[in-house]
Amino acid sequence: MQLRYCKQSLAIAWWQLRHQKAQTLAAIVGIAFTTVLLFMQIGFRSSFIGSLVQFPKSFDCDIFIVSASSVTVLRPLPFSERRLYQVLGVEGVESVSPTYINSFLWRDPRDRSLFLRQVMGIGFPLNSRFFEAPGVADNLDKLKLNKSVLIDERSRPEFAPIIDLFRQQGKTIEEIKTSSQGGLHRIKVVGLFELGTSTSFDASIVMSKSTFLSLFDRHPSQIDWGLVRVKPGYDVDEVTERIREYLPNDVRAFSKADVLNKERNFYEYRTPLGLIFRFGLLASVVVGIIILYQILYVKIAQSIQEYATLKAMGYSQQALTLVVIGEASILAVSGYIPGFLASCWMYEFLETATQMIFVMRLDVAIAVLVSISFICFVSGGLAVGKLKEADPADIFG
Amino acid sequence: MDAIAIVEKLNYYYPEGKGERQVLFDINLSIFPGEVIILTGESGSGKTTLLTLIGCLRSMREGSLKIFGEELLNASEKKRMTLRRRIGYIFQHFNLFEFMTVGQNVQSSLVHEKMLPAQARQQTQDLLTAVGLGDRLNSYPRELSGGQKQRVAISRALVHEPKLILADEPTAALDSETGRDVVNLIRNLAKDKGSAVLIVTHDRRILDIADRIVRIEDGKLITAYREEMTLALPTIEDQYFKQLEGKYQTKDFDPGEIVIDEGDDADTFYVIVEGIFEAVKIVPDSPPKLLRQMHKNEYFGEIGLLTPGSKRTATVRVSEDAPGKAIAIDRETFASLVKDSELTYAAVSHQLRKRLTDPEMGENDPNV
Ligand SMILES: Nc1ncnc2c1ncn2[C@@H]1O[C@H](COP(=O)(O)OP(=O)(O)O)[C@@H](O)[C@H]1O
Ligand SMILES: [Mg+2]
Repeated sequence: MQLRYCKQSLAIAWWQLRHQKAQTLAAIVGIAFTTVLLFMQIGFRSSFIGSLVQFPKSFDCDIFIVSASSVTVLRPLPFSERRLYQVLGVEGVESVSPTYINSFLWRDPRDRSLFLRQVMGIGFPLNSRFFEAPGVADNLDKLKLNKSVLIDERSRPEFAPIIDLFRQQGKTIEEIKTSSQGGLHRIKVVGLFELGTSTSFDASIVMSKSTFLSLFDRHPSQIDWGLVRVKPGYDVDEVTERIREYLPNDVRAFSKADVLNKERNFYEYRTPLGLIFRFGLLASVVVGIIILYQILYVKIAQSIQEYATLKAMGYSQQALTLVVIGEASILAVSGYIPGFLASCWMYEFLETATQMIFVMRLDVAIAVLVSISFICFVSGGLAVGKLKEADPADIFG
Repeated sequence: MDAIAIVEKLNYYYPEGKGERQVLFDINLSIFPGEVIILTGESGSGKTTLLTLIGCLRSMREGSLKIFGEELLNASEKKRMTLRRRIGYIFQHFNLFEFMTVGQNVQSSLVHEKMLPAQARQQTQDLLTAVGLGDRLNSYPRELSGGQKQRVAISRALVHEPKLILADEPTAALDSETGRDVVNLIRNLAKDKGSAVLIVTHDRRILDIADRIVRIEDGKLITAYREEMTLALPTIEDQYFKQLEGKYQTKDFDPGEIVIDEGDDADTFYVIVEGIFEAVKIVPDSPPKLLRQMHKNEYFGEIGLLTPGSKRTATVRVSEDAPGKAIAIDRETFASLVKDSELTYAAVSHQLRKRLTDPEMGENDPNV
């Protein structure tokens, strides 16, 4: 189509939108709302997955070794420490370290008859230097004292009183419960570190291996993760493969990249959460399409006589289609912009409210823009069918 | 001169129930450049249908229809669309784009022309100034009166200088004075550019702007004698024409054929529909002396009828160049027409007086 026709079609689109201001405004609000919905879904999803992998990501290692019975790397079952030291014999392995993980309950400081759930305890030999979450390295000395722990300052708000108390006093004695029968212990919070929460834990603490073993009544030879660092110049996947061949199959080895991917995929495809996310995304897109289709359809129906007149004047079907698509595109862009701004504000709000990570990432912003454009093109494409009813033979009617 | 539109043996059918119903029967019509044709007929007689067919707005069924030399029978939708760009359309309800300003409305017709935007704006501005709306370029249609809207619509239909302009009941939504102004405007603008105009109308008050009137009755095209007579006898009232129904004949004459011989009994009154008629005095041994040339919408033979028993005072014949057609009304009908309608009598006397005061014609008038 020639340029002057394109220009005229887009001008008509703009004039029509400007003419029916209330309707146009309603359409823009609808699209802005859809934009916010999409950003929320994607934001929650990537923040959820991001916070899930935040934990394994914080370990400076190349390979994880877990018990073959573990469903995911993040929900490990203990295995024998011997397996880990066997790995030192594999070519390309530089160093190894065990990590201990267990969840427990925390006496609620606001109501001492209750316990806060979903707290994760992380233990490691203090000299191992594998856990790299900010704040850990600076406070290692304080952990040498028995039953001393660091608490994650990005824990959920219900843990805020504990953190506040620590900040006021420089330390605080807390009571925890590590097993269903008994298992009550006092611990001393001696410092803070930063990790962030996920759906599977609301708060976490780090401690030395010996503190961990005594709190959780664990046999010293039973570890949850074996961490492996590969020598520079060696390919991580090759070394992982070699470890797999070397070890008996009661344990499994995964490269860190693999763990992160597996973890993402597990939540994406094996838990209802992933399904809910995908369904939510699809539902937002469908709702967006329906809203916009409805608006465009009504607009065309109202202007059917005008479209017929344009056809009588020799405007082509393509030119009129471009009018509708032009309207859809203008609505898309002018709905996306306020939707985007609202989402930025929502992300900030949610980050403080949930202590999960909500970042407005460029690729997500573009992906949402693409989705909105998709919505506009599909609804525009559907609404264009209505144009066929504009029959120039009716104009004299 | 090549015709702009030639309709031949055109039939058209609308689907009805399981079958179809014929609404146009064997239509033949040619439209020539610069011509203003009025198409009348009862409501439902098929006027709009014919207009949409000529306007390339509807696909043809049977017969032949050539617009700008292009056959429309079996023409593609694309071809019709391209032809439509060379036609101007004027509507009863104006069909302006409510969301565009007056200027944008008019300029929307120029999108098909290869011209610079500045030139398109200038052309729009000039035409709107010519129709008296030069200062309303940025108004919206809703701010205008009916007459102003129709003038915008006319500008939109004419700005790209189409050689064919089609109008369906352009005055129906306007008061009579505004309606008149509007059709005069259409006529004048079209004449300036040599465009042909086809106007569908019921409005008898605007018939006089036509060069030719045709009428559809039950889907068949006929010459609109009644309307032609209205033009010839503008003061006659409708009700008298109703009485005339069936009491007149149309007669075709060959070039040069004698209509009235001097000395005959005066028993018929003629209104010219087509061709040129000449009143002559036959002088023995020399060529006939031309007294007067008469054209369409003029009439002759009335004076003899006003005085019973008189004879024709001159010979009337058809010009040698072309055939002629006239409506013939007998003495009795004419008498009743004149008796019942003083206005007609006034009109007749007016024409008579005009001829008498014309010094050269007066003394030799065939009817005196
Ligand atoms: N789209 C249509 N479908 C079926 N019949 C129609 C349609 N348009 C007009 N007609 C019928 O065709 C006849 C002629 O209509 P039309 O051309 O509109 O007449 P006019 O313009 O002289 O009033 C009428 O009987 C009318 O009912
Ligand atoms: Mg009609």
